[in-house]
Amino acid sequence: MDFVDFVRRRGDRHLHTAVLLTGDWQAAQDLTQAALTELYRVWERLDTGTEPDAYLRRIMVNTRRSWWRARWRRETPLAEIPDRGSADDAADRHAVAEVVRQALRSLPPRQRTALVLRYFEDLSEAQTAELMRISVGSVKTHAHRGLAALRASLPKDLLVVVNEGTERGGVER
Amino acid sequence: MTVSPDENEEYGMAELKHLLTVAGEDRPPGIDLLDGLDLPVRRRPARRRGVLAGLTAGAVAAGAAVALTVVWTPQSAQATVLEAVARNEGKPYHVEMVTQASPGGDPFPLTGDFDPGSDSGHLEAPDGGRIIMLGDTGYQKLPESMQSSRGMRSPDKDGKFPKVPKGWKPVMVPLGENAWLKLPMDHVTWGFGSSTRSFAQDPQGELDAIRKADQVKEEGPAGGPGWTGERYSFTTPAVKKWFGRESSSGTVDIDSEGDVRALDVTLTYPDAKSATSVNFKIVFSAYGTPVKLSAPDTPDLYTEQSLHRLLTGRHLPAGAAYGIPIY
Repeated sequence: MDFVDFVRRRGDRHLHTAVLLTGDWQAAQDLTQAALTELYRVWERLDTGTEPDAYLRRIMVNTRRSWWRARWRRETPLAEIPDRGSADDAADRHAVAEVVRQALRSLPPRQRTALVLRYFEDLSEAQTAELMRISVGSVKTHAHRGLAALRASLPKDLLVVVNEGTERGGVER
Repeated sequence: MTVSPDENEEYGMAELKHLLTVAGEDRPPGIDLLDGLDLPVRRRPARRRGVLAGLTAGAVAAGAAVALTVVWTPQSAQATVLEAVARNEGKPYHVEMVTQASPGGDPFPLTGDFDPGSDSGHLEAPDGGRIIMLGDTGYQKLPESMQSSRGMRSPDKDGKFPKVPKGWKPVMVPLGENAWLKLPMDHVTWGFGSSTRSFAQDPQGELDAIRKADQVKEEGPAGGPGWTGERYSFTTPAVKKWFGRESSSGTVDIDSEGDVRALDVTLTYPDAKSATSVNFKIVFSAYGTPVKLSAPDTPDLYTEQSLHRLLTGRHLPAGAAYGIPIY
């Protein structure tokens, strides 16, 4: 597969991860394109055992991390979560998407990254720890705190239960 | 929909995954990853600044020479700089830097070592100020005493402090000769509120400005002790941050080995009320030299809670950042 093919087939998936990490589409496009530029640089040197997806994911997390660490490159937690209301399906899904992205944006960067890598990218704790360059214990801590914070910030009618499998009881929608 | 208790264990995770999926399904029209992707021209090693773009061979007869046509395409200045930026990414490094806010700021020198691989680093100021960064935890050097605010009322919801009561005098609380504050890195405040000083948590991160540059030009030769190379200038367009617009411009020096040696970047904030720009002059060295850092060994190690209680007599709410600005 050549590089352009890879971008066409897998770019959207990584753009989705990027919007979860950054919170908005413009920043997601910037992050993804910056990472793709770096991937292109090494594309011909990737060996057959290296998945471009994993490599690109690593670049994105590292790039994002260095963006966070630069001075004044902080996102603002938004004060208000917009109303969901709209009868139109697409508008409703957009509203839900925006609510979730805002809730993610309100999380500290490491909690957000841990949640996205564990529960959207479906990486293991060990894989997440290796990508984030932290311990497995830290991954667990960040994911646990991120889940708790997300649960607290999402509207109750949007998310009935977000837990770690410790709560019991029937849930009615 | 009713979820039974037996299914509840997986329900929360399934719901979260569903929401994370939905959160990326409203992609606006017009986002095309291939459009505007600035792919660098493939190149040979750093010393050779051209790219072999084509090769043709003329017909060969017995004893005749092969005719070759080699077309060299100069690599763009931006591609050269980005390659240099990527070359040492992730390796430990040493920095000497001077930061200065304008208007009115004095130059403030800092020295430090960073190891992105272990997520650690430290910065020191000439007056003894220091911060050690170990992953998620920071250790900030405290002065030997700090002013107590016992008896003072708390700031209001806008962060405004009440007037000092008549007759009130500041009380200095001794903290110890080697006092440190341990706090989560997420709580570290880099104190642009300070009039003259600022820190960068990851100086190499300032090189990221170049990734967004809309103009990178070769300016001419550059050099320093034991190295020669080239200087490049760059400018980045203004982008909107939560605090207002930010743009940057500066120069980066790259030596003949392809390493970034120096960065001189000015970040400009036209929307800011006070200081409107800050300049970083950063010299990088010792790429790859291991950096060994550890938590300070001291009996006077405070947490945000313990320090807050000592200085104010009050309990710091759970999750609140103590927010001591870094100088």
